[in-house]
Formats: sequence, C-alpha cells, structure tokens
Amino acid sequence: MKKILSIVLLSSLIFGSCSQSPERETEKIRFMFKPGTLKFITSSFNTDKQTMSALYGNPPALSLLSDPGHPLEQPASLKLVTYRMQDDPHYFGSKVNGELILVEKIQSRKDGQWEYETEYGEIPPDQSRKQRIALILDSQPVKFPQ
Amino acid sequence: MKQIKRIKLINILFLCIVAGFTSLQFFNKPIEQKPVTGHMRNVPKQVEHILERSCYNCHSNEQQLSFFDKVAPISWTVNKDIARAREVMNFSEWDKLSDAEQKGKFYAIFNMVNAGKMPLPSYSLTHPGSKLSASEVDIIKQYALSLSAKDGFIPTVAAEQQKETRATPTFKTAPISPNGIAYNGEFRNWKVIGMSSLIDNTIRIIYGNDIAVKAIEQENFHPWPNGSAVAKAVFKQVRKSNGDIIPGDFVNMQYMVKDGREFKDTEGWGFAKFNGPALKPTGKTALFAQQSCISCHRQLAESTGFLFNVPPKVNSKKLIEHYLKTVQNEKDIIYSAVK
Repeated sequence: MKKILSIVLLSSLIFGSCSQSPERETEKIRFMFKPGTLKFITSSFNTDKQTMSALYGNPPALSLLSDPGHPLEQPASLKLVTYRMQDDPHYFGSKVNGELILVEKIQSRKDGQWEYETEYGEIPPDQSRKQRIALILDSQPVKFPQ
Repeated sequence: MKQIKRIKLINILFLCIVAGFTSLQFFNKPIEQKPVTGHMRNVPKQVEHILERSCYNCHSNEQQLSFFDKVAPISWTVNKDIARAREVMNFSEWDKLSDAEQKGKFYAIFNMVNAGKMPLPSYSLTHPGSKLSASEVDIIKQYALSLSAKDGFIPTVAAEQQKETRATPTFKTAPISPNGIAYNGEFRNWKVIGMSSLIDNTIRIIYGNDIAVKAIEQENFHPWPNGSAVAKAVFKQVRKSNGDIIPGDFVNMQYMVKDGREFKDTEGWGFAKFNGPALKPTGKTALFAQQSCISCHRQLAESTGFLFNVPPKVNSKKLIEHYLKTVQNEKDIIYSAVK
C-alpha cells in the first residue's frame, strides 16, 4: 500500500510540475518601439509616477513643438510612448525604461482640434483626453549639436 | 640499486626545478615606481580604510605586496594586473580627475564591488584579506549616494528659460576621437533603443543603427555583428511644473562602434565621447577607452555583449505581439482605403 501511495505521489509530482498552467506568466521579451515614419522628439520621466516616456512626431508636429506659433499647413501627428521606469539591471544609480504601459496618438484636424486615441494601454483614471493632449503639446524637442 | 637510482633522479629533478626557478628571477622586473600626486579628499575614514585594504594593492602607486607576489612567474601576472588597474583607476592620482570624473569613478567602484566583480575573485582567493563584507559594501554605497545628494537640485523649466547663456550647441566640422571615431550626426535617423537617467542628474537617450537594432531583436550579442553602432545623447535634467523631468542642456554624445579587428583590446568595441556644445573629444590618446570605458562594460555588461542599455526583457510577448498585430491591421486598413 505504501509503495503504491509513493508511486502515485511521485508521478503526480513529476507530471504536475511539467504540465502547462494556463495562469503561467507569458514569456518576457525586449521591446523597442517602431515609430514608422515619425521621428523621436523628446523624452521625459516622472519619479512620482515611476514612468518614462518618449515622444515621436512627423515634421509638422516637430515644427509646431519647436515654435507653438508655427502655422500648421500639413496635419501633425504625435505618439507618446510611456513605459514603467525600473532600475537598470546592470548599473546601480541608473533607471531605464521597462515595461510598455501606454501608447497615445494625437492628430491635428483641419478645424484646429486634435483627435486622440490610445493604441496600447489605458490613460490614468485621474486624467482626461484633453489633459493628455495638453501634456503632449507642452513638449519641447531636444536640442542637439548642429 | 633501483632505489638509489630513483633517489638520484629525484635529486636531479629537484635541482633542475630550483635552478629553473632561480633563473626565472633574473627576468623579474620590479613594478614601475610612480609618485603619489593626490588622494581622494573629504572621504569618510571608513571608506578610505576599505579602499586601502581592498583596492590599493592594484589601483594605486602604493603597493604593499606580499613575498609571493614578487616572485616570478607570479610577479609577471601581478605586474600586468597592476599596470592595467592603474590605467583604469589610480587612487594615488585621484587629483588628476575632474569633480565629475571622480563622482563617476566612485559610482563605478560601488557597481563593481556590489556585483562582486571587484576585488577580482582570483585576487581575493590568494589575498583573502581583500574581500569585502556586506556591511563594507553598504558603506561604499552610502558614500556613493551621498555624492549624488550633494547635487540633487534639478532646475525648473522656468529657471532654465531665464538663462541668457543657453544656446543651441554648434560646431563647424565633425570632431574626431583619438581612436578615429568621428562625431556622427546620422544617429538622429537611427531608432531609439532605450532611455535612462543616472544618479548624476542626467537624462539619456540611446539610439541604435539598423545593425544594432537587428542584433537586439535576434539576441545576437556574443559577439555583436561588426558595423553595430550605438549613440547615447546625455542631457542635464530640468523639472517641469507637473513633476516631469525632461532634457535640458546638452552634456555629451557617446558612441560605441563594433569593429572586431580595429578594437581588439576593448572587446571589439570602439568608444568615443564628445563633450559640451563644442563636442570636445574625450582622451588624449586612443588608450582612453582601455583606461576609462571598457573595464565597467567588461565586468558589468558581459551578458549583453558589453553594452549597457539593451532594453530589459520585461514585456509580455503575448501583449506586445497583440499590440503590433493591431497596429499592423490598422495600417493595412488605411492602406487599402487609400488604394
């Protein structure tokens, strides 16, 4: 009896550990955002929210953010990509962009208004679309040596 | 009779070993003696003692070597290690470093001891007294943190806008690093592979060319393919009224270019750094990468082919694939509508 019981226990252990659990965490991968035709405009991070963001845009959007008075002759398109901020696994004192949490897209309309949509994730519950558009438009392109 | 023969043979063998060992000592070069120009200043005594005990035997001009360290052939390895260690970091010539460099070197010290990479495990094995306890590593950490606390102030956007001296960095001709790597403005057309912030109050954007991006996608790090290039743009941090930290003044541009033949001494990576609006190249000779770059990359970023800032594996494959599929479907719909 004892022998049978131990065989049953052992086999359940072996087969149980090998079976796929439906709740098992999915495989983790590296992610680099592909902006298509948009160009990188600027980055930011927020230690309170523990987020890190990258802003991409097309040439009219870049002109608009460089000079808010610039007239929009072509439709402007911007994407704000937000990640969770995390410790750099290689270097103490450094924080890096980690898990992707939100991709927002805004596009200018002919009437001067902006269309807003989320491509990935959901906007923070305490913020409106209007606030998110204002946040994106309140960005300045980084200045590189020329 | 046989036993006498064997004893004779052992004696001869012993004499040969002694003679060989003695003759080796004629090829034993002493360590190059160098003066002490200046130590770390305003460092807590505890930190000083830890560094003296664990690091000074290699990273200084004040070696206190044991007898067996001075005997050939061991001394050959010891001398080589000391020469290399002095190149990377020399506590007897600490005054030769700028304030920023001193701070950067100290963060590197903490990262090395925290990761258990320093003192070198092979050195600790023969010099057990050099090993650091967990509490000693913590002392180093606290001092590293105190260095960043001293310059913890981040200016606001409003204050930065009032600065009259702020100008867009400009240069006339592309500057060139001593190892031949030129400043390459093409990086702005590369893909952003990551972003980071550092304890020194900088914010960084990391770009990779097509070869580097493909290598990351394929986990092809050992070795990275020749032609891979990564550029890191470093800016000072500025605080917006909503708490967001954004890039302010330009600090420097850093490059890593993979060429296994050209940069053999630095794991196949060529390093270049261009500082300030004038993009002044770092280093007086091509040796600068051996002296100040590769040691950290070699010890701390081996798993990703000696490159920091490879995006970490933290994203759910399922969610990302679903997202990319959705975006692609939308593109296809737009494309067919235009058609």
